[in-house]
Amino acid sequence: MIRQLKLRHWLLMVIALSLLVFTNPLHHSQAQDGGTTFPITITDATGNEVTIESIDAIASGSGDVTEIIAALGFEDNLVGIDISSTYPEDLLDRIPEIGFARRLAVEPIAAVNPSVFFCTETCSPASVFDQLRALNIPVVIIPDNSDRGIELPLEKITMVAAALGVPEEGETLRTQVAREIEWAKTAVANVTEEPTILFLYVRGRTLQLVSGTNTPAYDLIATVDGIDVGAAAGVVGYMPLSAEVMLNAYPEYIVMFQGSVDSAGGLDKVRELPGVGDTPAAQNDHILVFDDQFILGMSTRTGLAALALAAQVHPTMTWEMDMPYPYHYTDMTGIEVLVATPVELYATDETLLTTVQELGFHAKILDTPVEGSLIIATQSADWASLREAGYTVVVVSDTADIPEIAAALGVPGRGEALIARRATN
Amino acid sequence: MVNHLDAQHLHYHIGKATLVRDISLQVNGGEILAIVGPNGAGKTTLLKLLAGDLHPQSGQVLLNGHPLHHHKPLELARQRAVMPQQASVSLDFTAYEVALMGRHPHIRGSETREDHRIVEEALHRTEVLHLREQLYATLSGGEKARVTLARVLAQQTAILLLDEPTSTLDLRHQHMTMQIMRERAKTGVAVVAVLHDLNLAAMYADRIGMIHSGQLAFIGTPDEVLTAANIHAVFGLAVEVLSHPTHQCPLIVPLATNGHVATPPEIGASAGRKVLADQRVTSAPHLG
Amino acid sequence: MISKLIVWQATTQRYSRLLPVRIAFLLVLLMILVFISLSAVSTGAVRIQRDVVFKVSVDAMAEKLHLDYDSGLDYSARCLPGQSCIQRDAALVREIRWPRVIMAGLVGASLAIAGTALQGALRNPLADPGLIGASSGAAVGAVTAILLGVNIGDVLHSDAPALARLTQSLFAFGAALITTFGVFRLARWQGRTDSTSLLLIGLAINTMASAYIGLATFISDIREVNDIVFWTLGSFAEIFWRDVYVVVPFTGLSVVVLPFLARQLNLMTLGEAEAQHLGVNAERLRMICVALAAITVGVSVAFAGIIGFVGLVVPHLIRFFTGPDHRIVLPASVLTGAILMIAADLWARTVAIPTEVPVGIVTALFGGPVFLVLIILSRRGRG
Repeated sequence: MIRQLKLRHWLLMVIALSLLVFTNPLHHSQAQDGGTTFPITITDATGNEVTIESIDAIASGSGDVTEIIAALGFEDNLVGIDISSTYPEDLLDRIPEIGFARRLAVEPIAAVNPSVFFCTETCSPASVFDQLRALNIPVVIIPDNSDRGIELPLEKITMVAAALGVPEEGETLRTQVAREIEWAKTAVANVTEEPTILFLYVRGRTLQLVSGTNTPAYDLIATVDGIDVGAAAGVVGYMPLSAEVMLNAYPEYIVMFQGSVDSAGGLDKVRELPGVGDTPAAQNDHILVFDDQFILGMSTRTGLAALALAAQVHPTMTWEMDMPYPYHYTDMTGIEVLVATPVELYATDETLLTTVQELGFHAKILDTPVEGSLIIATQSADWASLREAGYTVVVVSDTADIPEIAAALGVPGRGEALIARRATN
Repeated sequence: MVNHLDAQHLHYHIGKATLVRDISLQVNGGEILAIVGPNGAGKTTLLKLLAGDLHPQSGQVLLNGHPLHHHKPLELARQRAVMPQQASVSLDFTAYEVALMGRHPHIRGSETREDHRIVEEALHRTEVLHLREQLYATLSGGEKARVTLARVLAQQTAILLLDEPTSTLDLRHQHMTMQIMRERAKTGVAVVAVLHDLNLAAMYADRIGMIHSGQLAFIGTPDEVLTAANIHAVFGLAVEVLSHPTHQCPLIVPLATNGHVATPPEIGASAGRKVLADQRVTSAPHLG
Repeated sequence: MISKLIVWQATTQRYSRLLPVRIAFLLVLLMILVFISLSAVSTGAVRIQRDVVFKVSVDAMAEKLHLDYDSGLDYSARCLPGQSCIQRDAALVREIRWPRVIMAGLVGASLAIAGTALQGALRNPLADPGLIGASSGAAVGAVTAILLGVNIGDVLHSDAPALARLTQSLFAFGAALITTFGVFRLARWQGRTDSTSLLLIGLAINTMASAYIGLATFISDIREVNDIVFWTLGSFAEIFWRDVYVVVPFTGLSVVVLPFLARQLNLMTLGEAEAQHLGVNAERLRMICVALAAITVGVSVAFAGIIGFVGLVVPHLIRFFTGPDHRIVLPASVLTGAILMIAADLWARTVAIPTEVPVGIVTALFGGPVFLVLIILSRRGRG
């Protein structure tokens, strides 16, 4: 019970974190965007040339795609989504359901009269796509194959953005997600342990699978420097759970979907599954439960998911998960600055910006800062006038190293991790 | 019409068990041949060989001079009808529908008025016309047998093979059945009937073949075959053969003393074995 | 209530021996079939006005038959995003709903006529296309194709999903024939085929097949499991015209040939030897019936997956009203099988919008109880 509370705490924190880092979501409206002209023709993941006449009415058959479409600012264009579209959270309350990604049917999709239908390579049955094409509804298939590893979300973003005619916005989102994935890698760069982790998928009493290589879970575990003991036990793809497999894997951590735990009837029932109760994971309350779409959706939140998982499985991780605000910092001008939660974060030069970004902040190069922003400035920059203008300014030396910048940002632990990460690169 | 069933040296075995051993016999139009014998003697097997249900391992059955298997099933069905010992129907057909099935070999396309007339006549003759609308499966054993008999009669063939047609019938209908056979024989039909009741065979058959252990022990007229010695040799029962008071035929009366029948004889020791009348049986069969 | 039904049943059975009554009965079934087909085509997650459905259907038929007819429906209106339009509705009716409804009808007819023929030819009222191994064999074939990941698209250098499904269908069809043949070969002894051992061997083969499918479900990944579920529970969700064109000749073969054997099938109820005495080549009749059943069921399963109970229940249902004469039961089961399957599929795809229930679940859901009722009624009817 305590464990569950703790997990929920972590989840809340991660959500808070994501809210913070998305301080400037990419608001977008097709009407205001004069740059793109439809029709657009693109080649999708299955090699089909798809011509999209209009994106005024978008149907999405898969939660990960819905997430990207919404992140690119086309939330209001969605006319139909599948039941795995659980993010942004309130979409399913507002937008008609068109089925479930793995069990699609043509009519419910056609019923929302979409001008374009998005789904992924794992959507099924594939013949629904043929049927939709017969109805002159363009079908865009987004890549969803585990051999692309942790880069998969980036490829998805690029293709969705291309299909929506917003490649630049796609690039921005892609960079942001790529950076977040990089944070997770950095966060585990200086850890000492190699936790053994197993992903367990449960659907009621009938279906219990453990995952191995060729799965998103494997990629995620590898990203956080864990050992996927399912893969180590020889599992390729998914394999039915048995006491034998479980004890062979002997994981210190078990990762599960919230949906799986619910369908099993709670964590206590999960412990009663064959072999699960005897694992160190169960005995040390290390069954980690995450939202399905968040942890393995392989979409816009994958970097944050990896970070959240890393925080759970690496007790020696120095990377602070919490944002430091508010904190006091006495910078090299000798002034003690009180840094509160900023509206925006700016750096005065590119080198500095890179480090700030690598330390887990969404920052921009300084141009015309908005009110309430935090500016991290080098000694040679015009920090005095910025400070006079009322901005919170933290000054670092022109040759500031990672520890100094990390300290200035209130996250010294992240600095240590970044040093290790740079050393390995 | 030429109706001639000619069985030549029939031999049939399943595994090591020989069911029919070197049986030869002939049936001609206009006569009733009764096959009698104790249980398990091979009567039914013999009838199945004659019907073509079973194929003899050696020997052959000629129908009007041609081997049975040279005839197509439909052609065969127009020439000979077979009445089985027990007839079940797997679906809920009525008595009338079952009898009408006897017309199948003659129907081209759909059944005619004439077909219906023939079936009704047959049902009337076997005294089951009043059961015509009843489901066959709900009839009693005797009623089923009479409906089946009607079906066989409706087939209107020159050869009739009957396997214990009277076994489930009451006395009156046993005789009715045999009288019908006599009528048919009079019109030139050849009838082969496996019978249990020796007196029934004695009264109606022109000839009787007595089977024992798969062999044709005796064949000839009722007077020739149904002797006390033959019956004792084959059935193991002491009987007295009387003369029927009203018919020109033997009347068999079992001799039972003190409530139990006589013990079976030493078969090898029994004398008086003979094969009569059928010139095709060249050598005396060996019993035991 | 029950006794009334039985009296009524006896009456219907008596009258159904009359030719005009039989013709009228078939005409009524045909009318129901037309009605249910039109209803099915007019119903779905997408709401389309009835008159549009009819006009589109008539136009499509006129076009296929090269008739000079035009309903006057305006197809030219541009499709606006988020709004329904004639163009798309027309395509839905023509390319999605009609092939689906027709396929459901074909498969229902196939299963029903195959069941009727088998029950007659094997003299066993429990004979079912599934029992001689055709269905499970087909499923084993399809599942094998899924597991091996075979796809003729790889040979043709095309990754159209249709080719993957076609590969599975071919495997299913081949395996259905092989399994049925195998069951028959095993049941044949001394030149004769014993019906009881045929059914028992079929049962054994079915058990092995379901074990194989269970194993396959167990070892395959989530996506493959989805495909396997399709095969084991049946669906008409993925039917195109091209599939219909493949199935028509096979179903047509049975529908045309089997009624000619109706009288011989009637004789088979007397028993094999008796049928033989009446001029039926029982062994050949049985071979023909089983071969036709295997072919039709095999091709049905290949496109729609295993759909249970229709082949078993429909013959009983018809016989309940008409009596056992195959001359009426065979054509009536063709029509009834089609009607029931179209209705079952209609229910399967509309009961849980936006998702679909596998049609095999629907047929089992309704077929099971109906079968029970029929058995109880016919038992009481015999007194």
